[in-house]
Amino acid sequence: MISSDGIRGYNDMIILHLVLEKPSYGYEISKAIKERTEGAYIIKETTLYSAFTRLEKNGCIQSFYGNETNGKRRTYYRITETGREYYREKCREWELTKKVVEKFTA
Amino acid sequence: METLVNYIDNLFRNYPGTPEVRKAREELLAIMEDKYHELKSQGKSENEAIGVVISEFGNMDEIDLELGEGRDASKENSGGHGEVYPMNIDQAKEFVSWKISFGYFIALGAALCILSPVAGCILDAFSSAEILSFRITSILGETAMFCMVAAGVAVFIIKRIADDARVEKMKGKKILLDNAGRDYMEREKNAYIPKFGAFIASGVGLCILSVVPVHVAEEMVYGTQLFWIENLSGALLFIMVACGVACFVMAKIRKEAYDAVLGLKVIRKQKKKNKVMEIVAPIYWMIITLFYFTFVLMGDAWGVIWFIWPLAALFYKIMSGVVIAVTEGDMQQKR
Repeated sequence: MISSDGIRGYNDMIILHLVLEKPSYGYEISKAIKERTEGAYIIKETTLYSAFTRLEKNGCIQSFYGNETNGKRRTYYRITETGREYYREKCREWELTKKVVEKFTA
Repeated sequence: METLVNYIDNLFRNYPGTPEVRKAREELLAIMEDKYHELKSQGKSENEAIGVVISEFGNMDEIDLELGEGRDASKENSGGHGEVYPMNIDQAKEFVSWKISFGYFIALGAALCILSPVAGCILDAFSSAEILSFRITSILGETAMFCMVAAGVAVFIIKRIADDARVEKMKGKKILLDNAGRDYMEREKNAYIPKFGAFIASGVGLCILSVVPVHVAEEMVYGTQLFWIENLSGALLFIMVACGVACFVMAKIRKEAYDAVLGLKVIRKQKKKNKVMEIVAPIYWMIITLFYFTFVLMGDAWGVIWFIWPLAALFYKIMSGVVIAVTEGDMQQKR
């Protein structure tokens, strides 16, 4: 399991990647992260929610209410143009980070 | 499920009711509920599911950052972040009834210590009335006193250790009760509050009135040879104080049990021992004890010298407070 400290700078990128595919809501995103990493990274609820608020404040994502059939109203998030730009930027940053860190791996 | 609602409510207890805070609470709860239902549908038990959800919840510091400054300063009251001890109604009932009986025993221990000079006073009355010789009554009185103090201290120690073991897992945490338990305990507590008031009032009243018999006896004895009345009035003083203190202790412990079970207070952790006090305390109490014995054996001050104990305890509190403030303040500066 990965430490939440190690991945901190890339939570935004992970979330943006998922909402880029399709608009999604809290638990679906949390579940997708867990499944795609085969349980290596389980994002904490507080981390996820604070990322949502931060990204929304910065205009990277937009929240809207989905129309659920079973009565429960869910908050969905969709990516904005700013968000796409930010995502691409984070991807470039990661490529660089990866290169740098790789120089120092045994 | 309701455990999760309580968990979240507990974490958000000290936040203001702003729209941002309400939204955060709702969203976090929604994610937790989704996760909970999914785990249940995978065949996890209720407790397992709640355990997983809470362990993956995270840290409220992250939420604080997003919510900014609109946060209540009374953070300590929230008992840290997510440090809770879940309980159902039966466990809560058992906890409270244990605490009530614990209270009775601690009250008994205190009463035994306070009552310890009573036998001596009564025996002195016999010697004052010239029924028994002073030599016999003083030996019997002292023996009785030491036996009672020993019994009282034994009760203290045994029950303290038992209580400590009992709450070990809850230390530093808040109890988180399910809704049925909360309703039940709130009713119980509300029913107890008037009694609590009555107990505290009687406790204070008894302690204040305890000096009355001594003064009355003094007046009665004045100009006569009926010193045994004075001795008996002394016994009455200790009995009244003992009853008063017992009322106090019982009521306080029971009320605290309700508060604890309702999650209003954190179960107290053993205080970290202060290094300096660890060395000073035994020496201090040895000196006080020696002082006490010297006076008792010298004989005359028998009726007054017991007062050294509350005074010594008071002084000890002040001293340890000062020592802790000085030494621990020092340590923080070094860090």
